[in-house]
Amino acid sequence: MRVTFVSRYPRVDTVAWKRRLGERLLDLGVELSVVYSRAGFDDQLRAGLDEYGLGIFRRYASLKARPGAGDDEPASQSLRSWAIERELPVSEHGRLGDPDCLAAVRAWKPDLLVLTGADIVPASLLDIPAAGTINPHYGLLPRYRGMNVTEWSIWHDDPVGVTVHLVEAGIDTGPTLLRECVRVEPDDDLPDLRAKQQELSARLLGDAVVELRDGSAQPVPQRVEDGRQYYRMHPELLRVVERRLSSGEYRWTGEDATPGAIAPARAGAYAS
Amino acid sequence: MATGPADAPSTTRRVNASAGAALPVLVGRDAVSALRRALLPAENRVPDDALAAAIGWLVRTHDATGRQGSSKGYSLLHGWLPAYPETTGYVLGTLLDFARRSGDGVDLRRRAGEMGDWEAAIQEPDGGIMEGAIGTLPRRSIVFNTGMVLHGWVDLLDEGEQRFAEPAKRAAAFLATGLRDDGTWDPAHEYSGIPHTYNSRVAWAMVRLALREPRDEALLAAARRQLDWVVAQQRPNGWFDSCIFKPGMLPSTHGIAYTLRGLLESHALLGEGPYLDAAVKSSEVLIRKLEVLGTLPASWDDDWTPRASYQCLTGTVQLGGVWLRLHQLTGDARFLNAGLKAIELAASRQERGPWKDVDGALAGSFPIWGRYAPLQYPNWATKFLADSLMLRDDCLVSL
Repeated sequence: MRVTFVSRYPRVDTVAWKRRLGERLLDLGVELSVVYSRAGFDDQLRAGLDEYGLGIFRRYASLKARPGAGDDEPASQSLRSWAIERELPVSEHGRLGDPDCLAAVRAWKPDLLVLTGADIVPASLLDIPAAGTINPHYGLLPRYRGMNVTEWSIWHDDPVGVTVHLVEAGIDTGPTLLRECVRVEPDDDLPDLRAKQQELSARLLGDAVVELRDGSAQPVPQRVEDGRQYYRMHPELLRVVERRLSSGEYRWTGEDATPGAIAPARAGAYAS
Repeated sequence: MATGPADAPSTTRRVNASAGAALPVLVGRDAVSALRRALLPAENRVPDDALAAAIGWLVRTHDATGRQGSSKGYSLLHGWLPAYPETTGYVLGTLLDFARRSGDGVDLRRRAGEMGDWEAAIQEPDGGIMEGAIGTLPRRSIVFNTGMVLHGWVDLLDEGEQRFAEPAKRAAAFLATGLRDDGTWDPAHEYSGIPHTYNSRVAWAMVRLALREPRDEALLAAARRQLDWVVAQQRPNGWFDSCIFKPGMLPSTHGIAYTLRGLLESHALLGEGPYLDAAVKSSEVLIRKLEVLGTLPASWDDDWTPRASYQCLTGTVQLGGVWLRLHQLTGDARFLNAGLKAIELAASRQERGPWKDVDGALAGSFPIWGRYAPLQYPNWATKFLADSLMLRDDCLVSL
């Protein structure tokens, strides 16, 4: 099977879970390649400021100081350098829809695209792989679509998890493949949960690739009306979420969910 | 209403020297600010005293007229504008609301009563409230203006000021008798001679009065008829036909917010699901626009494509209030999230500084030369800023 990672460079390219996913797929005999949209410094700075405001600098410092969950590799090693070391095909472009980008990916003839922290993927790229494109979503679909869904799940006292789904033109609306909760420990904060979700997404993406290769995948169509679109959480609400986590008020620990099982839907967890 | 300064009487047309001196400073400031917003993410901070400053400025609109109604606003070209009957009607409710919260509201209550008395003194023989600023000739009763003043009188009745029962009753009679079977009013009493979905705010005022003892079923039925017509104007994508002030205009955030608030508050009082559903449907679209664009352009065409490069600050802050009320009524925190963002987006433009004529006020547009009330601080912009800041306080306290 030929798989192409679609990622963004250099922002968010150093996280270890991407390299671990790559190692697993190579061990499975997958032919791997990586295509990047390469952000300029101004794009990176703007994206960071958009997402975190001036707190981006504080966040950058704290992330540098925090070891990644299970991270046994230098934090500075990028997926790109890892791929080049293994002599995998790597291609970088300004935008994923650029003609030279599309030509490069077509030349690799991938069966599957795996989104590993990518910019918005144009339909022209999604059309290339025969088996489709999969994406890890840090929330439990179909209920939680959009942004900051971990935070929104905690707000509603719902389980936190990851869903791997096929990518369609809509946002987080494609059929789901695998879904699993993460366990929330008493001392966990949001960065802890993010690290757990990254590790879980690496495992679920690997499992999904195997299922798609073996023909055992069972995509479950989503109904838009079964979920809600969420947007970036306002700082005042975020403070409540952090308080619920730190105080133990958030009561979902993941203990009720069988590991590997699909999180149960819980009626009445949020208003209509 | 969203008519801008065009209908101000000619006596105000002379350029005010002190106001004119500030014009280049404020225009230059907004130019820099607009450029900064295009380049850097917004930091929409709301100062702790933003609400008090807004109320302080609304009080100055009262003083500016010799306490004969609230001035239509402050123009950078013409200075203080004449009293405006329509918006004086709902400014007084804001003063009463703040008075209840501040615990020291004697002056504000007195002013609200004076505004109510002034409105009663200028009430037309047919029970309606005149078009435009005071001094406009010929005088003509307008449905929307009457409804907004009715809100004020009901607010005062709720405070126990029984002297407003009679003018309120006359206003309600004007509204009920002029409403046609299809739920629209006689064009002779409509602004620009066309029906408007934002008259849902008028129906809300009618419902408020009708539910007071003794309950007025005929008035209630009339209000429902109008609200049902408003709901029927909504397209499947949430856009409203007839949500305009004048023929040929596009819906503005101001008019949309008026429409949604009237529907929403009528739902709150009557429990009618379709009124809530309609408010939710349009809100979902506009919230997505706010999140994607990072701002709320002033006007929209029928596929929700933005058609303005400026913000109508009144509309933005009103929509924020609508969404906080949606949160209060449904418990859906997505509306709280969006409401806080919209209010802070507008409130970050509140004027602050040593120049008392505008300290605490909210301009019509951002940048200030935008086509909605250009170079002007309409009293209703600051009224809705204050209303939404009070709602924001309520919501944040409950977190």
